[in-house]
Amino acid sequence: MMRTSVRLMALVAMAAIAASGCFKSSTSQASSESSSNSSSSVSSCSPSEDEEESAYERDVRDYTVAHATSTHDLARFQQDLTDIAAGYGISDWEDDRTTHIAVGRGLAGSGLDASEADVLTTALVRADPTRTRWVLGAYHVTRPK
Amino acid sequence: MSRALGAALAAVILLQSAAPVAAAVFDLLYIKANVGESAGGHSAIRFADQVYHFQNDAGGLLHLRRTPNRHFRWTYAVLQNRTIHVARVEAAADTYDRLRDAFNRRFLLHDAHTRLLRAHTRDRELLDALIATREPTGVEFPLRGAGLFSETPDTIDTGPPRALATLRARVSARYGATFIAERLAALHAQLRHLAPTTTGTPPRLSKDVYPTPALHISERYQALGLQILALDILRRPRSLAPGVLLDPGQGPGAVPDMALSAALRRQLQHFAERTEDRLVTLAGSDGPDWGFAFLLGMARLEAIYASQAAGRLMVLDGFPDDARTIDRAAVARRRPYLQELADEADARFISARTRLLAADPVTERDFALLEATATRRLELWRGAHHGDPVRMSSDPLLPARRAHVPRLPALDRTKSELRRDVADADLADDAYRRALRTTFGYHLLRANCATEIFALIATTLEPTGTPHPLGGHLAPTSEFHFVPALAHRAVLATWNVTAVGEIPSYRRTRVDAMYDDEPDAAVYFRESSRLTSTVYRANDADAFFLFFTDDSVPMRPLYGLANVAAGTGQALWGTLRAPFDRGATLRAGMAGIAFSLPELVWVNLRKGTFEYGHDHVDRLTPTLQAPPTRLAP
Repeated sequence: MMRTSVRLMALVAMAAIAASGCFKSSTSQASSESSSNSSSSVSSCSPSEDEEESAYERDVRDYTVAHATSTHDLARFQQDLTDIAAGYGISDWEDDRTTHIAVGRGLAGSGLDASEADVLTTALVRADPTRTRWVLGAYHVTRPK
Repeated sequence: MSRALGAALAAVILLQSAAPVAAAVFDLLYIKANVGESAGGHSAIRFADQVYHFQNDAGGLLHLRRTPNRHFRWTYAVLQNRTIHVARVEAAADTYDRLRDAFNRRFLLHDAHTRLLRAHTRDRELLDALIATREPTGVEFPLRGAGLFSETPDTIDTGPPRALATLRARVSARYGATFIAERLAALHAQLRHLAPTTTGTPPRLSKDVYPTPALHISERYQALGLQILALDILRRPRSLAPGVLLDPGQGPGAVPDMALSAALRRQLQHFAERTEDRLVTLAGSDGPDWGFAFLLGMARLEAIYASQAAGRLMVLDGFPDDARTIDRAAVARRRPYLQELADEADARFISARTRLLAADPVTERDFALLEATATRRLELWRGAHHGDPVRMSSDPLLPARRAHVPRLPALDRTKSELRRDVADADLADDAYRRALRTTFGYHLLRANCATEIFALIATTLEPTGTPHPLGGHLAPTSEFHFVPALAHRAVLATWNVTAVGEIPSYRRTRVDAMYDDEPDAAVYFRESSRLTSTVYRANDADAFFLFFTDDSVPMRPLYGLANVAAGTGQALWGTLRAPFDRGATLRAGMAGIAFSLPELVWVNLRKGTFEYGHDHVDRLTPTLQAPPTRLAP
């Protein structure tokens, strides 16, 4: 009996899904969805600044991991960082400490050894000593011992 | 005494040794159905303040979205009026971290593909513009940020804006008097030599490998075009474009409290000096994409100098060009709601200003937050107090008005080469879209919002040892797991669910509160019909119906019959009106019938939707309780 009712529920739900199915709803599209960050529209239902900051840091870290484990196309890496930063309202990520620290954590998370991290960092920050310190400092602190 | 102490110590040691590895919890969410595109229910997973959920877009692709938790509740429980069922799952901290990272990385991967799709489209637009180019007008290809400044340099009468004149002097002092001209010539040469990089070879995509193709021609054109424009503005300064600079504290819709205090003036001056230093460095940068940061930096310097001259805060308009606008009529309907939002925007602005006042040094984030909150505050203030149209945007308010850059050189490619490039771009675009559909395509049974959550979890946790980190394996596509309601049931039966609960829909929350204050019968009969309800307001998004049936189970078939009759009536009326409204009423009537028919067999889909209901978001939190004894899967 139970089994039958479960199957009946499934059939009804299937019929319903067949007409729709996890679609991006027009309501949510109009009010909230965006391709990247999905923060607020007219509403103030946006995350707090602290939440945004940690989400940004996580995104840059995770993106660095994803990138470092696929290819090392530096121009693409920089372009994607620019796009991700813009999604959080940052136009100049090269001048942003959080970005560099998150990159360093991402390099550590991707399992690059110290010399590989060094090469990628040098290419990214173009020998700027402050930015080098931010990236490699975070790399060495985060790297599994 | 000593025995008691010893026993206590032993108990502590025992407790410590028996303590589980640090655990964390995440929520599996099942969102009940509503009409239209929501009829199948929806599944999502929440880690702390972010909700991840797969959505089927119009192109047949299943995208992983990420939505802040509060916003998710607002969208689904308030606007869409759907109850959200919560199953709280406990996992070891490292399992939790792996899952959260996996969902976030998959989200970034989907986001990257969305950007790449856009780059394909932009490639084609650029190539078309290049083919159509006539030398005097330049390439008609709008660049993001190029519309911040006026198209023509200021005349001698108006004089160059002071901020840019100072900056130009500093750049020349640092790099030499001929630097700007030489750099411009080099950038022009680079731009002329651009060529497409995409080919028609089908890309090999994967759900686990981040896409890192070479930069598209449109991306490189945008970067170089903005660098050229930035240096050209520095060489021949011009004013901000009309409408770019907002002056919230001035005019008939003036927002209060925009005057610059001495402390704010000082902090803005610090930021201006820091920005100027940074722009001098950027002018000599050999990085690939400094153009936009340079343009925005110059525009912000202008805004700060204007603010200081006027003694009140002025900011750049951060709303995107295509921001959706609520017109005057809709604003009039939403006045109380807008007032509420305006009050909250006030609070956010004050918080941003406090943050900037305390910052040392003042960073771009601090300034951008002040800029964005001031812009939004002005928009909402004018809507709430003066009935002006209100713009909305789900993107951060980063000032980046689009415009084409006059006098950018054409590429060193003949028209026939460009036509071949167009054909190649079309092939590349087709191949890419096909590959996306193969890898990320939506499928009712195999790849939908529920199955993809289970699939990603299974991939992330495999190979699993014994015991399973979540309590048991859930196969993505078996046992009807593609149905969100049954997927939720399977989670309750299989995983380490430590609590369950629900976030009631907006209408239910409001009606339940009424039951506390009024006679039950009065509330029931009044609120069960849309004609007498004090909560529901007719929403254009809803097809016509008479009765709510989600909270009237015994009466559901009877109410359903009335709803079918109402839908039929509307459809008949729509048939007569079809020549005048292109069949809109007829379609609404048919939809009304379709969503009422399941009610005849006790199945409810329609709950009604709302245009707004923001004040209730914070009340929509789940009341959690211990899970029931494990259900049979």
